[in-house]
Amino acid sequence: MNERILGKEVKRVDARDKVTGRLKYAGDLRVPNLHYGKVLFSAYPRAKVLSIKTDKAAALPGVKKVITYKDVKGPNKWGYTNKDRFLLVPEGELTRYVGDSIAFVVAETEKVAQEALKLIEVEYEPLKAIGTTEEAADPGAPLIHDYASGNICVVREAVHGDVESAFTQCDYIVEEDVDIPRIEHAFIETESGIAYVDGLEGILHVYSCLQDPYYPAWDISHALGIPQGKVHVKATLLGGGFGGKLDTTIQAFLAAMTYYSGVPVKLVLTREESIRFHNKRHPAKIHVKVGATKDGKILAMHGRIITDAGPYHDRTAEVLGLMVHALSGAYHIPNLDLKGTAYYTNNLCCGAFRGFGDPQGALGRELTLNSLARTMGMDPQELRAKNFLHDENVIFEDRPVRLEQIKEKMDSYLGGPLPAPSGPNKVVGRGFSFDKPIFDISSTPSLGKSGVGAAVEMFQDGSVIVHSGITEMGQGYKTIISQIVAEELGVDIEEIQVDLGDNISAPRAGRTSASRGSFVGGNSVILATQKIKETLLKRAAIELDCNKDAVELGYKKIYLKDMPERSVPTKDIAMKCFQEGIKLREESWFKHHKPFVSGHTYTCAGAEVEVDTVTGEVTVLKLANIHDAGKVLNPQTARGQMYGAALQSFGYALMENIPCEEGFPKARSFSEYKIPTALDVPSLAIADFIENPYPLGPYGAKGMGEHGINGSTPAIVTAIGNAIGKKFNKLPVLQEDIVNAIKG
Amino acid sequence: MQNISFTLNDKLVKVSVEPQETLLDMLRERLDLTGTKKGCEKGDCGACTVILDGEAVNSCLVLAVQVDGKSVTTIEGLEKDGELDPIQQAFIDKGAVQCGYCIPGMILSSKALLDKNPSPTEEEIRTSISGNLCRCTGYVQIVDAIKSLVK
Ligand code: FES
Ligand code: FES
Repeated sequence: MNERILGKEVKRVDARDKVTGRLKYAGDLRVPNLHYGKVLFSAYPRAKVLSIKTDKAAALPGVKKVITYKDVKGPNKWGYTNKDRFLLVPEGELTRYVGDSIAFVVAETEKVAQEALKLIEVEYEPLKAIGTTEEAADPGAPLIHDYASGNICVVREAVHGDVESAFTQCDYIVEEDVDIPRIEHAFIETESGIAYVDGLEGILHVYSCLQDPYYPAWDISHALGIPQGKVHVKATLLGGGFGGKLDTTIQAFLAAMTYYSGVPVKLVLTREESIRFHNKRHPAKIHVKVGATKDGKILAMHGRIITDAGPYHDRTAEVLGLMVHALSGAYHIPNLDLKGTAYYTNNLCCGAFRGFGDPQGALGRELTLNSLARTMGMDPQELRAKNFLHDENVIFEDRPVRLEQIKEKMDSYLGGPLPAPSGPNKVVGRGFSFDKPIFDISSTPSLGKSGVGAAVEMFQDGSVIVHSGITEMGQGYKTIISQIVAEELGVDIEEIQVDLGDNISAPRAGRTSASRGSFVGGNSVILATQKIKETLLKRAAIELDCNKDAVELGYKKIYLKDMPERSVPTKDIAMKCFQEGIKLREESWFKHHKPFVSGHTYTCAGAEVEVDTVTGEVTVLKLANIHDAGKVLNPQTARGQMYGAALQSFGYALMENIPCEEGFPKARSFSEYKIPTALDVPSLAIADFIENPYPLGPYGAKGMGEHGINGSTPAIVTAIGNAIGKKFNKLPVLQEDIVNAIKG
Repeated sequence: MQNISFTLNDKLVKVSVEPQETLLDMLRERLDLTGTKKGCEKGDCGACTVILDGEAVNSCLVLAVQVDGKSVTTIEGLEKDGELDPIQQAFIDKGAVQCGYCIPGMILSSKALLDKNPSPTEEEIRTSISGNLCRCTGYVQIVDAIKSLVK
């Protein structure tokens, strides 16, 4: 098919509103009589709440209502996977981290609400927090959840073949320990939203920045004990998400605030509150043992991962599952014994973050493979290439695997001799890594993760609206869907409205995560447009006095295949359908035919760095990502996704870490938690694609939103190590670590 | 409350403000100019950047009373009669916008630079936006957009 709009550099449909400041983000919304909410978070990671006194706060002029657990009529619990998180911690109960909420204030202004918070008197009995996974695993440790013995949150395994006997056939065996920090999403828009109720018996509306309108609606209905049909959750366009707004954040707070105060409420977390409250990327301690024959064939891998989930389950089972899976990555390793264990602690809660476990797994794997190559005296790229996955190693839908082709393309950007260092005391190095990122294809039949719908309607003037439950967080979904509809229905992008992230108007679509948006959302929209197209063709055939199979839909018209000059404008047919009562609104449902399968793609990341051997300063000269996209639907937004993800890895490799000390986070602001600025990042970022159409994808496309981060982090760490002839197994690699490594 | 008057996007305005109120809150809450974003209120992120007498400043660090008699440009002031400022158009054309939350600040920082120095080097461009954090783009297409306007 020769596409008119797909595959082209179509400008983002939301860009104009964004560059003019017109777009309303959640924190910009206003309704009449709007009040302001504030949350009293727990002062301690682990404490017994002895008493909560709100009289003084409630008496402060301008305060509308102070809400505690006593006001909550429903079960007062929420949470993904397990609904075991108090909406408001009751007296007599224990807090589990500093993001637990004790009380809500609703007041006329934010300032008054803030003042009132200080007047709430909470008496705590502080208890020793479980601050490490070692403490959590101690047989004498108190349990964070009664049902989780040993404080084990979840265990995930992947076992294949016979690792022990395979190791006996290996000529080389290496083992490495890799230590990876907890990191923060640092979206620039903090959790925000407004909520109000239509009258006493009406619908509860929550407008907020979120990646999944459906699950928060469930959490709200569960926590407050109100029917789900009364809960309307609508995602505003996000100011960044990256997984941090995937599960319910403040939406249940907002709902309770408006429900129990009777007034519309706005809640915007401060940066400090945002950092303490929302889920982080899981830290991980990874031990990998890998063995190969002397010609470089890897026979076996044994891997153990320990991670800190924080106090609640959330996405830990899924993230850890992928982390374990990612340990073998883009390589065929016939014998595997891989296991990951997540513990509950009183540290910050962890959950989804772009890459979703794969970045940690990739670090464990790639840094150990470097060590194997070093021990064998083999070129690390050659070792990797000898163990690439091939078609016979993957499920049918993931084929063809073209890792060699990806490598070749990478070599064209980062091949040949190293550039000369820019001065004395400078050294340069390169690092590469290959990865097999995952994307969701709507197959997993649990927790509402499979089945993705969309609704599309053509109006009598030929314009179109799409209702899709996927959200726009900057990745460009709105634009991709506009392109798809324009292509499918032969209309202009300007004639299409894409309404997103609404749990009531859009058929259930689940979450916007796992690099699934364009894939599952695109497929469901195509299914709906095809039905509309069928109706249009049928009606047009009557108009053109021919058989339905003889007509085709083109740009703005329907014409006879054999006589294209005989045609009728599509909008005239839309008008006829309107007048004659023929339906031009269709819903669709896309679901993969097999349960528990995922899509995969293949990538290579390469980094070229210069290190100052005196100061330890690292300059990343080039950072390249080559990605099997299946089909690139919009090269400009696709590159944007790859650059953005790849450059997040810069912070992961070199700067970012949010440790907790006995449950208290060590950073509360962007001055304490630094993320890369325009001066830090490489001036040469490369993103390029190969296109092997994916049979199930919309126009052959695969997912890609997360994938640039996975391999880029180990590539940068490897390049630094290669530049100075040392290895780094602990992130972030700080300047002083480099200086010490050079000295030591 | 204190009365101030200043030029806002080429128009003279009079506003009553609290002595401790920030320029950011005045713009957003009193004047409903929500294109100026709030990301930290501590001067760390640059989302609240506006142009004050030709200089890009973090409006969360400026008191409203300090702009009395001065001239403020916010993102809403760039489009003239439906025509985008060239820097806004460049951001669209180069794909510099993702979530967009940092973009008003980013555009105003780069505009302040280009107004003063129409031919900045890449280093000067990067320096001018180094106080504007962006978590989406890796700054690649943002720097491309600004570079495309270099005379
Ligand atoms: S809000 Fe002003 S610098 Fe962040
Ligand atoms: S575009 Fe999202 S923070 Fe810059």
